[in-house]
Amino acid sequence: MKVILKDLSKHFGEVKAVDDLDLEIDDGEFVALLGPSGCGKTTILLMIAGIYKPTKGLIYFDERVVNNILPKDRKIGMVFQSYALYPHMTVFSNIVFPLRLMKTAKEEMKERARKVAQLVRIEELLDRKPGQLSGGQQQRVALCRALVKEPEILLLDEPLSNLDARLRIMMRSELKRLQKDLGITTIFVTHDQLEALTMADRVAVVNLGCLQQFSGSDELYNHPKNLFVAGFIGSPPINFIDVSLEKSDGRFLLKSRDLEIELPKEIGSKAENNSTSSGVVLGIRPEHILINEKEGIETEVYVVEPLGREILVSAKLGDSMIKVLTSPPFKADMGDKVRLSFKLDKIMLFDKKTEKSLLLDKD
Amino acid sequence: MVRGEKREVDFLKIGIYAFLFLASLPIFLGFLWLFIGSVSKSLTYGIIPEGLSLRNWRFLWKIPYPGYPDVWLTLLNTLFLAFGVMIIVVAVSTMAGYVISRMKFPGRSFLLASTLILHAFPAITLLIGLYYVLRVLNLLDSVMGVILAKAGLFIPFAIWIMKGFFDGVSWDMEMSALIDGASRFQVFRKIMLPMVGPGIAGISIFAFITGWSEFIFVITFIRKPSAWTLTSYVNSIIGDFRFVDFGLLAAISLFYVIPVLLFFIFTQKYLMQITVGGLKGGR
Amino acid sequence: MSKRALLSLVVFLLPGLIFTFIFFIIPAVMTAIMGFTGMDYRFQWNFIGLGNYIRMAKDFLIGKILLNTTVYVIGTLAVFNVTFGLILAILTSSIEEKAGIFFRGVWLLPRFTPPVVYAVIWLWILSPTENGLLNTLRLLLGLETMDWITRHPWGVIIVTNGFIGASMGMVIFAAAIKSIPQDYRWAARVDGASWLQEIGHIILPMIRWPLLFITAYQTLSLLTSYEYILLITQGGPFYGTTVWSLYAYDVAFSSYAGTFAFGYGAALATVLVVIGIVASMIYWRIFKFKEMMEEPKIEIT
Ligand SMILES: Nc1ncnc2c1ncn2[C@@H]1O[C@H](COP(=O)(O)OP(=O)(O)OP(=O)(O)O)[C@@H](O)[C@H]1O
Ligand SMILES: [Mg+2]
Repeated sequence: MKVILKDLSKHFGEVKAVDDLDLEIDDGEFVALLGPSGCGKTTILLMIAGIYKPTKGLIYFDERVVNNILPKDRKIGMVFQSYALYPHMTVFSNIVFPLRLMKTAKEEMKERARKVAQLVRIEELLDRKPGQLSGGQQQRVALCRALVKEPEILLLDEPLSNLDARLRIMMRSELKRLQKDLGITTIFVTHDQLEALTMADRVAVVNLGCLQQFSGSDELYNHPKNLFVAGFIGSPPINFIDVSLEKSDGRFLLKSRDLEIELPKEIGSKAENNSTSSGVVLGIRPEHILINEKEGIETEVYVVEPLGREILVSAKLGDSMIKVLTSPPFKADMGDKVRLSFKLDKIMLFDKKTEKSLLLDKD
Repeated sequence: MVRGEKREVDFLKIGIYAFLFLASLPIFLGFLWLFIGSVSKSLTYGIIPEGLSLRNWRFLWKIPYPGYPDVWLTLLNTLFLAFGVMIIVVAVSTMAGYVISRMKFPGRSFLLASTLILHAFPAITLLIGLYYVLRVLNLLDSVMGVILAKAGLFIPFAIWIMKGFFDGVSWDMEMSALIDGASRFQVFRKIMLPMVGPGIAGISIFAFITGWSEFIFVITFIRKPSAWTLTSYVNSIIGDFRFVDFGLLAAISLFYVIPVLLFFIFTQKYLMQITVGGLKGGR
Repeated sequence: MSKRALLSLVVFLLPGLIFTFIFFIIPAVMTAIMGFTGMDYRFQWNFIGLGNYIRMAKDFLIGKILLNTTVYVIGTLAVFNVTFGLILAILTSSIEEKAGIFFRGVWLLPRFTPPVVYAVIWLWILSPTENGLLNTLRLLLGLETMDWITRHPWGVIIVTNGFIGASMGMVIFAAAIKSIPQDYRWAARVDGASWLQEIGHIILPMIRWPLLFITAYQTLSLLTSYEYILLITQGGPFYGTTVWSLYAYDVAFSSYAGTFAFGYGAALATVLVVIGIVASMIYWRIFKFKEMMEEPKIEIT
């Protein structure tokens, strides 16, 4: 089932939890809603579920506007961040609760419960109470309860955030596989970018209630639409340097007090066309910076952090700090001078005022 | 050094225990006397029994003094009062508490504010007005009248407590049930009610004991012996034989207080919770 | 909101509203109106304007009753409801948890005991005959028996009410003390604080708010409660322990006064009702009740 949000807004008094959001999710797609805490992710889910009424805007399931349809009639399954298992019921009763409300026959109920329980491998837990389960088991029970009524849309609100690191990585692949097998349109909320990028077909990045970008992970990482997305995606985070874009003798130069870089022609002219003023933010990811002996911008090594496979070097450029990801061996020590050069085909440029990318075609 | 310190702490503890014990002595001795005094022929030094006797319990099988009602009828009245208050208070406050805690509707904040103000209001000051209302409703001299009045004045407090318990249930739980296909009413019955079980238990016990023990309303609104509760019974004996028939007083008092003691021993946790809950505002 | 939702809302709320209206609002309004009548046992609404309030101003007992009320409220509050409640809370929090709970239970018991039974116990303790507990002790010490209630009515009133009143403060303070993070107390102990220093520097400052709260609430509740006075001294000797609320009750219901002066009694009670309303409003402000009102999160019914 397709899910379409049109101009969706939700205001709580003064707070604009969701603001003018447009989103089109395809049938069977696995979409992640990614954003910092408090950006409105849960609010979006709860509007789709029908718990919150939108202040403004429409929600479509396929061609049908569902704004006035009750949650129970929306054919939705949802897993809450807290799992929201009913503590006074056994696992079995929890799972079949939706079926019971639909007055399903006893035999069928048992059969369907067994089937979903098998799917996530919790058959042996059916007689327990939620209080006697581990976090990971509770999460599976919640998933079963959401799946048992064979919903057309699955909503998952940070389902992995309460699990420990190892379990989380395991559940990531399991969830992804399950979603593909079942083919249910799934919206998945998370504030963990790795989760979003690895699991989802497409990621919707949200900030302060507004949609920032909605695209696949490759696009998000390499062609962020604005400063926020560039800064939010990527770990260690991207480097931002305030510069000015200048043109002299047909050459495009990025200049600041501490550095001067010549841009390739087509990048330079594109940026110039798109920019509103000469104020520009240069973005460069740590892995797109090379450390050289001879050429490049001179900096001073501030601290060196070995990460195992790679080494993270923080280097001082004037007053700012530049993070560089390099592979071993790396010899320099704190206080040593090193020279950095940027892979010019990987750099990003943003308008300082509008914060929009200067390198994307205007739409 | 270390040993010396340890000794000091122990002295402090012993001191505290001694103080608490001495301070609580009137309560201990008081209840002890009820037991001893009720089954003794006579007491020396106020509390040392001399000879066993069930004479003081004679009220159980015959009317001790002319004009007194049958104690079993009185007991029935008292039970009726206690259960009546309990059932009304629990039913009404659970429903209203849920709505006020969880539902959105016009006038909600007004209701919430009123509950909050009324739950702390000293209802006893309304006695005279209540007397008039009960008279108009033809409910004077009947246990029913006391039940209704007592429940009515207890309800804002109970609603406030129940609201607090409903507030404590996570919203996710309720939202989840709605998405699972329940109506608001089904959510209330199948999810919320079981989750506030301790609150309902607490309110029930509290309301029961409040009704069981009620004093002012009973002696003010009920005069005719056939509608007496145990409070009227004991109160009359106090009035008629203030310092004379202590044996009878002890026996009937014990008879009256035993259910409270039992409740108290077995459900102290709930009672404590409600006592704190009622005043947990304003931290 | 759908019709069905509206209906269920009404069904859920109505009983509470009806009860509160009939047994709370109407009596309050009645009391206020009756205060302007000369109503007696015949229950006639003969309005006499401010007559009752003028009578109140002229009543030769009022001065004494005001004084009694002050002594009763401040005495009980200062000695028991706050101070002793606090002492009990601190002491029961300083010993083993189980023992603490036991002693708190013991002190909570009188609050739930039927008032008549509680009175019987005290009448035995204070009995003027040699059967009374206190007089037994006096006899053992070679002293004469004493009529405690007549000789020391105020001591009796304050102690008997205090044994009930202390428990509320005790429970609230103990809960507050328990909620102080253990780190603070351990830190103080590591710094070498003695038990008394720990109380003075950690516990007391941390429970300021509950202290204020109990003082405010118990003032109001003492101001309006009189059942134990009625049972134990009956307000005597000769109005010696009659407080305002008991006076209102006596005037309206007492058979020995024989008048059933409901109008005058209602006027006296109205004064308390007004104090109650004003106090509630003050609490509303001080204790930030408004902040306890949250919006519900589900927007459908
Ligand atoms: N019922 C509500 N009433 C008032 N404000 C609310 C309500 N629900 C959410 N908000 C506000 O709306 C904003 C978005 O909240 P939301 O719960 O959707 O964030 P979130 O992205 O899910 O955050 P998190 O990752 O922490 O779960 C927040 O500023 C929050 O305070
Ligand atoms: Mg959230």
